[in-house]
Amino acid sequence: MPPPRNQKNEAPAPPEESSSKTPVIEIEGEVVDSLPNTMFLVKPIGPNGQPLRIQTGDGDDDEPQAILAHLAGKMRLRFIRVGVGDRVRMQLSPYDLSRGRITWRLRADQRVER
Amino acid sequence: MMSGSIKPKTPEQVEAMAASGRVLAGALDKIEVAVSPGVTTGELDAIAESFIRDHGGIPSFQGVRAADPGVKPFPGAICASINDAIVHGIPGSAVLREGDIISLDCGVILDGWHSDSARTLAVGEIDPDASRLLDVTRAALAEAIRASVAGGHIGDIGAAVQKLVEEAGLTIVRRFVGHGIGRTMHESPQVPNFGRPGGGPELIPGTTLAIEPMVNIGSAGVVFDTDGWTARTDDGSLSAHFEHTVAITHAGPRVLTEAV
Repeated sequence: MPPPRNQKNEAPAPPEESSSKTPVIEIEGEVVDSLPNTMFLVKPIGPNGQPLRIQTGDGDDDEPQAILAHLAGKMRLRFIRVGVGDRVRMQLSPYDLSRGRITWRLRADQRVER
Repeated sequence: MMSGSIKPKTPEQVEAMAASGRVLAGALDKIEVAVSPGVTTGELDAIAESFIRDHGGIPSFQGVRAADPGVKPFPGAICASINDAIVHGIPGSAVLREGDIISLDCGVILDGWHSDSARTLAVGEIDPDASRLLDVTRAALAEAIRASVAGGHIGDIGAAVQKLVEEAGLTIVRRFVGHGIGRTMHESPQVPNFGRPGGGPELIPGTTLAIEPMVNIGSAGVVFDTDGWTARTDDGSLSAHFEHTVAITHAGPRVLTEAV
């Protein structure tokens, strides 16, 4: 009788929406470039693995956009290494969809199966 | 739950577990011949329970508590998981039909020692894809047992399963794992069906493991029935499950859940 696997690094459920905070948009993406100061370019990916188009309002609609995202403070404190090709979860502000905060690096077995 | 360190068994204790395993193998053999179209999983459960009790054992699955406190303890002596059910199917009124596959998982306590074993069986004629799934999963367990040698690591077992299953184009269930076994059903370590060679704790003689690859044709995703137990593939694809309780010995892996 197989028990469920204990996972120390289980991705937490997305937080409940709290009325006191500005709501965030949480999406997944793939890191396409690593920039200085723990900034990354991240290509958004939808729940079924398809590329997501997000209207960032900077014109240039035909360009496959990548979101400029920084590593969340708690990830920097814990020295979570993120590199090109990693799947990450990030939060976008509804006011500026071109910028994001990386809040989770997904391990290989947490990636959306395709 | 499963925590603490790995507890290696003395050769005498391994013998006691083998005795438990022989009762279990007998029970599984008994229900295996009873599997045919028209039989209910509840009938199979009753056969297994009476066989185990007639041989001085206790069916260990009865009363196992779920991780979720809101779910009732497991009621059966066996887990009977049909077709897209991966594991933990509750035996009852479900009727076997020609062409089904059924995973039968059972556990015995004899003189305080646990054994745990499972096999997936065809009900009558099954289609070639299903038949291949059973062959690959059975072979994955054999590979895993071959990798269970003293001086090796837990990761060697998972890597052996992963290589064979993924090369066959099938999918490993990652949500559930094999486990150490002994005085209790679930002991350290966890034995995942995937991994890196050389990863995880070292296998030392006397370590007793329940090794149990669970393999799906389609997605690795798991959904649960409202009973809180039955785990199914999220895409409805077929799933197979083979398991033996194995002791690591100086002379190589020893399968404890085989009839002699």
